Amino acid sequence: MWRSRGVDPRLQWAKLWFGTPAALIALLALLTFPAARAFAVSPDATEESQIGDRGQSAYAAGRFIDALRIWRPRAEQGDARAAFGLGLLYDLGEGVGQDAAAAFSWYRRAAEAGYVPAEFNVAVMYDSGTGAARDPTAAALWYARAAAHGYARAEYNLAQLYQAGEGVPRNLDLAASWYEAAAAHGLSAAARKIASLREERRQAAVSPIAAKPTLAPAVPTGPPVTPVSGTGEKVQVELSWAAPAQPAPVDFFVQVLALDGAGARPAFTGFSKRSAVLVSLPRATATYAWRVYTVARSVPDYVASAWSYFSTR
Amino acid sequence: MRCSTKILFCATFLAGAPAVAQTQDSSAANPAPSAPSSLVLHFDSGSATVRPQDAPLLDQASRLYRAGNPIVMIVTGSADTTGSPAVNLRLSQLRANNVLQGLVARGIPVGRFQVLAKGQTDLVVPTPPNVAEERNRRVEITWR
Repeated sequence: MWRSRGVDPRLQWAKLWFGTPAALIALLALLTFPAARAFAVSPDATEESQIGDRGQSAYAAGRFIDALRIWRPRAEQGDARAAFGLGLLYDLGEGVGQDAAAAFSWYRRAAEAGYVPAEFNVAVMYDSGTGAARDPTAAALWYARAAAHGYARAEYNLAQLYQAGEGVPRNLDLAASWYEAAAAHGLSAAARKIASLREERRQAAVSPIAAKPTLAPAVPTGPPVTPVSGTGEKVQVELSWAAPAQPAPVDFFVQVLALDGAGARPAFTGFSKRSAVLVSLPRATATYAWRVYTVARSVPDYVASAWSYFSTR
Repeated sequence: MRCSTKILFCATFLAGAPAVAQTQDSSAANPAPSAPSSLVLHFDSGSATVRPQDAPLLDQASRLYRAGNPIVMIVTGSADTTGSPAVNLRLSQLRANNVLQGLVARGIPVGRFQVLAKGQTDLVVPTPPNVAEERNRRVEITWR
């Protein structure tokens, strides 16, 4: 019940567009940095720690006070899953007085540690103004982080934000891409949304197009400034960006460079049709720079975002 | 999705928690999900089909439902007093079921629902028999 939807985000990367300018740029990037390699992206399936299970068992059995006793100290020590559980108890008012702000604060701690259901809950609370002031921009960021893991409901809600232009620029193409992801992950309502968006997109497309369309750069929105940590040999980093509507169909090309004393070396490159990706990097103290290219599919044009930075430990 | 009338009345674990307390900010200018305590959909006479204009209400419900909270989402169908009570019970059940399907299609776990069919009993707007009253042709979504 706590597991994020088990969908392999690798699928998102499998779609390269050979023969298009986008592919050319990818090739260029790979030629420029022969050592570039896309690390395997793995679904977030290791969250079921034994530590949390005792708390979870107590919770499922309705022994909320026991769950509270198990989860609170773990949460205070930084266990993301326990922090999520504690947030849930505050959210529901089980074993403690109901307190949306406290729930938000614990969800947020779990989310910052990369626990996917907590990322989704933080997004929903920002989206609905529960436990925190309503902030669609923050909601979009946290939906995107959960969506990077293939969390279907986050994909669906993020698509709605792009469709409405709430917290992100209105971008029907990105909305459609995220609905497609949600539909592929089992949300049948998303498939109906794609059908209804088709007409909306067709109408948007008849607006006059400039002779030479100018692409607008994407804006990196995540990850946060705090170092990303992980367990095992890899650290999973959710990279997300916001992107305005474009005059031509585009793809996004993500470039991540590891920075060290000697300079920069490539750590990851890959394409996406969406606005978030999950990248696995070695678990080590390191600093990275990354940016997103917005690449037109049918005309030889692209534009790069500003560089953004994050660190791992 | 595998959900049929089988899951009607699939009351899940019940906790005595009160209705979810809502804190609301002041950004009322934006019609996107604030946090109401219930959502109501209305239906055409004799129909159990969710009206297209009500689909955003289902999206709104899906944007309020966090992972794990609420514990139970209650979907209650009702009918007005036109026609026979037996048909109206069935109709209210179909309405509730269609709303349930809409929520499940948005990824809300089916195990979290309690579905109730009230037929033409317990009306919001009490009327004599054989009165077409739109406000009684409804499905209400509440949670706790």
